[in-house]
Amino acid sequence: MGGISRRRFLEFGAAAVATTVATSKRSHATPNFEGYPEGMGVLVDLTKCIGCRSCEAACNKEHGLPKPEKPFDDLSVFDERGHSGQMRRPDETRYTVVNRYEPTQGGAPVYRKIQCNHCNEPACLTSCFVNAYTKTKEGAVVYNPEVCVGCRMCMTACPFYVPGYSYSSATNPVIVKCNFCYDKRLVNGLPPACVEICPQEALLFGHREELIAIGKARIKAEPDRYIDHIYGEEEVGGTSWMYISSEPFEELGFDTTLQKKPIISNVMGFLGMVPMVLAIWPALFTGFHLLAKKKGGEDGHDSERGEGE
Amino acid sequence: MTSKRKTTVRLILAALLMLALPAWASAADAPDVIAIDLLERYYEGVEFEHAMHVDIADDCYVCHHHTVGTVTVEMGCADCHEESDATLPIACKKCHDPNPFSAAQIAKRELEGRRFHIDKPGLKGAYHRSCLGCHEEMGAPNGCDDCHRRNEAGEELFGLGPADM
Repeated sequence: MGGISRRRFLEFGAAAVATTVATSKRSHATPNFEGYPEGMGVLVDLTKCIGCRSCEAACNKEHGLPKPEKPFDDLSVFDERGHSGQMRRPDETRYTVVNRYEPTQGGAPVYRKIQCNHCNEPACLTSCFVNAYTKTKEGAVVYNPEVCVGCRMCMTACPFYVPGYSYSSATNPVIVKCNFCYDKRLVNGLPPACVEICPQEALLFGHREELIAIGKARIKAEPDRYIDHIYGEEEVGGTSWMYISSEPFEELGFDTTLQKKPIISNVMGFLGMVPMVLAIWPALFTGFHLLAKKKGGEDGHDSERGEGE
Repeated sequence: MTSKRKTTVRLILAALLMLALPAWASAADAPDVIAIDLLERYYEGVEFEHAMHVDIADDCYVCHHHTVGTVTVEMGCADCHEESDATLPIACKKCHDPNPFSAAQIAKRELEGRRFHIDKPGLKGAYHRSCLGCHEEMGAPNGCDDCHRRNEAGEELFGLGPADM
């Protein structure tokens, strides 16, 4: 019947399953994506930041964000705390904030700028089921509000809690976050607005690979000054924005427990199985069903059931 | 013909000037006050009192590294420039680029930045790190508005100006 025997069908099915498993195995073996070779980044040297908040002001102007209640030269914002005592965070009105930390060992306060770190393998992108996120070859992680359905999975997926949500908009809320000034500056070979205005050049803009080399050189030149670590070189698979510091990172609000592997590596094994299940199983089991039915017809199951009624 | 001769004369004069310049380069020849207008987009110019800082600073190399012919003790500089003579570029802006993150400057940095003048900051960074670092050490004024008076655009940028309305 149909020119295909049951044996041949089973052989074909088994071969297809084997192929899919082999394919997903191969994708597991692929080394993690380590960013585009031409990808840009920013190295934040926390020892150089003076907490002037110029970057916040420049970002606000660049993106046409609403003017805050307190002007950007008001340094009392460093004392602001949220409901559960947390420091200021980026949100729909500000893509970046600077916070002040008092080192436990004493000494001068340390200022830390927060914004999207533009991961090499972004968890927001991984979690988004409508592909609203793109990691561009320039290094930016950009978001497309046109396709976003507002599920906010990216907000929970981000290991740095960066994406904000425009809760103020009742009709068309969207995700808001730093986009590395991608559309106006990065594609034109210009540094982001915050980098450009930084008086201390605490923010160093360049190719990510070069920035890592510079960071390592600074640490090597002044080993007593710097912690021997570039935050973002390896965290969650590497980020385009990286930090070097004189104080332990965990004292400056950095999550130092993050895995080195990209977040996607936690789910890749499972997700690799999904296409196999979706594509192969229906065909396979339909085949089994058809064969079983044919055999059942010969055995007269139908008539048996008919008799039972 | 005339224009060619003129050019030749100018070239010779320029060459003579270049030979003579390093010999002139002493603090006494520098202007007493140097006007800096790098941040004119948001701030009014800064009048840097060079003469006053010459009196305060231990030596010229504190700011000028090796370029004025004084012996430099800075690590990195000294390797090559320990005994080098004064060089023609003396002003900060001759070496520190006002636009350090342009594609051209990044390419240049990547090309030569590993061998010499490693990690050289741009002009704005060089000014602030040098000025502010010393001002903090010496207990001199170190607030932003101690040196910089914002212009109209600056007021607007910081959320104090008319765009606020």
